[in-house]
Amino acid sequence: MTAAVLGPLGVDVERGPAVLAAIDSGPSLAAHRRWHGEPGRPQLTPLLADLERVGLRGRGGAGFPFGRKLEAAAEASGRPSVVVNLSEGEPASAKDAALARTAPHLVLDGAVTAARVLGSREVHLVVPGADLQVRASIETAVRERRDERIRFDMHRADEAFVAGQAAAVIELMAGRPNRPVTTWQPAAVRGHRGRPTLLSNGETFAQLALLVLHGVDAYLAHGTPGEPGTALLTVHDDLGCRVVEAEFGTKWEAVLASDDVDRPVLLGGYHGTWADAGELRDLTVSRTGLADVGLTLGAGVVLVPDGCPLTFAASVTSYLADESAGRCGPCFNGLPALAEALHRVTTGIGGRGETERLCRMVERRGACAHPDGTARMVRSALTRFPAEVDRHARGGCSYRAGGGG
Amino acid sequence: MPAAAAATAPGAVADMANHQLRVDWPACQARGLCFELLPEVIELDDWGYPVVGSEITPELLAAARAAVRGCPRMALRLRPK
Repeated sequence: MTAAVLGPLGVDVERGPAVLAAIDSGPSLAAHRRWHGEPGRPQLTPLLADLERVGLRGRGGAGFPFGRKLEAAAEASGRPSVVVNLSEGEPASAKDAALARTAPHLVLDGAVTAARVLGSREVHLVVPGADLQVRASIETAVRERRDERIRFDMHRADEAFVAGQAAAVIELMAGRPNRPVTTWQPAAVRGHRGRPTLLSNGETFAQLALLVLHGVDAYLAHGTPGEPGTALLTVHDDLGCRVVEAEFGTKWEAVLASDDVDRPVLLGGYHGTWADAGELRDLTVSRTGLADVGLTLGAGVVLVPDGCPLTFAASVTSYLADESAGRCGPCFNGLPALAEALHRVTTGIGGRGETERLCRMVERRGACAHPDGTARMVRSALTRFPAEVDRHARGGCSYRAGGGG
Repeated sequence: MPAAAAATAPGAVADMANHQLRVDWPACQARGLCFELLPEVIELDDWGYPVVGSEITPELLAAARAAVRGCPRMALRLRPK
């Protein structure tokens, strides 16, 4: 498979079946049009029907049905705004950065289509402030579209885990600190400037563009009947980091490097869930199939840690505690306590009951889902690796030489 | 019963339904007045922040409204369930 290397990040992007099909011909608008053609001008009702048929869900992690979001924005009062959230707060995710670098016009086609369907002429592009290459790539792509009657506004997101969260992005656009706030209504109903706001990440808009450019049948040609289409995955393993596009229904064995299905894997990123060694052998890239066994695909981050998954979970928890915006008491106080308790579990000085209690204490008690996601990952580590927890309680570790305990 | 309630006074229907107490977490600074005013539903966590136990039943609605009004940070909202 051809691989394009993404500059200093060192992320390999592999050519894929649909979203990443045209990356070898470069990111220019001309190359994009040669491969994908011109998007039509769909009307809202048929587009909603198409979205329903292909079952497109948001690719930022929550997996909300995109058609319902679009419909809510169309029905709410006020002229809607469209926001492409390319900020990827999760540092382990590189798929939107990869899209911005290799297929920016697919993302922009999706955003422009959504804006036109909603009767809006402005598209907001939220880029990671620290990633100069993503910014430059999007700026170039926007310049190539000068003739379109759409205004593109760029916003630079902070380099912080919670900065990519929807309400935090709308705060940024309002000129306030790029951190989560309490919202009483979804952004699709009341978002930017109090108006309905269609906010989704880059991959979601790219998937919308594929549907509009190539039609329902072409979209249904990939994936499974229950889950058509493809998903972008950011895979971290011994080979490094790469962004791959996998059809739904692909066996994990085909996605991961040779024996990695026999190792513990963190699916869905730092807010994700742990698959035990070998568990992925019988599973496929599928939101529903993974959900049936208590796993999440999230935003498509797949981490194969080198070493003990419990120790890795503890260090991720410490990181997530540091990434609390510090605004909500239960998160600001609870996550460091949770990280401390899990650290005690890994070093064999108790902490298991305390860890479980703190998970319950932080959940649903913040302006954003940062505490919930952290608790999900921690709880999943405890339930997936009970034998490893016991071994650590006796001072051992099966991933350390002589530490079989 | 709902028909009879509707006949009594405007707003009476809403008062018969359960409500949900929601916390604006960034606004909350753990002053603890909600716990003083509504101990039936609110407990405090390890750090003094409210843990909202259950839905607000019609009998507790008046006390819940007092807690919402009493919060010095205006961090509580009562919403129909």
